[in-house]
Amino acid sequence: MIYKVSYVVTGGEHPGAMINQEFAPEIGKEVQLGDKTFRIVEVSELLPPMGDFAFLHVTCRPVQEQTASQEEAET
Amino acid sequence: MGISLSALRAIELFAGLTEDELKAIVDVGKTTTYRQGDVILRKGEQSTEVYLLLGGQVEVVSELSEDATSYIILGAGQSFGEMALLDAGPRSAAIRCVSPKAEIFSFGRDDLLTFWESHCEVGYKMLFNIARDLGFKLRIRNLKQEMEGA
Repeated sequence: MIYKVSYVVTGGEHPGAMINQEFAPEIGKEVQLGDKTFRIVEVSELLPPMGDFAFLHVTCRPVQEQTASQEEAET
Repeated sequence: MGISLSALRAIELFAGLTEDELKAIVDVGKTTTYRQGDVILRKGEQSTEVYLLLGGQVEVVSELSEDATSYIILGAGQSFGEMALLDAGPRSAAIRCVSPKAEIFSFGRDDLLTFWESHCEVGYKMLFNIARDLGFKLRIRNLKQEMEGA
């Protein structure tokens, strides 16, 4: 299966990305978009699969931002 | 043919094509390697190739300047330049390579149209795939606008 994934970045100026990949995106995993790294926080099916293609919508956050906010919450 | 069948299968524009059709259409285009920072397309230029990303990432931007608006990053399997393929109009955005390197397969508009005329079934499948891709991008744009408004 080929996963056509639309990555949408919440909170920030990053425009997001569109990538075809041979593995399904998973919540908690990191993804490299351009020169920045993001963590996946939500995965949903945008359209029913057609042929060998699945169409997914992924929401992600910058890893650094998430780490900073987690540290803030801990202090 | 120089490009693996598995790489071609990951390109949505080729969805539904048989192995023989894939081998035939690959002979119509060419593969180019770009390096980080290379400009692939300039906004406003009059070129009509369509591009398919075999590997790496490119960024779609409003202009080639520091304060340009970034529209999206495209990765493996994505295509760009389809609008000029369909309407032969000027490029609506600029494209630059943002990964250490990007392998890009491209077709000349005239070469592709000529091929489709002699291979109508391939033309039907690819045009359907282009239409579906444009629909997918429209859905994503609507979803982003909903998220921004929420």
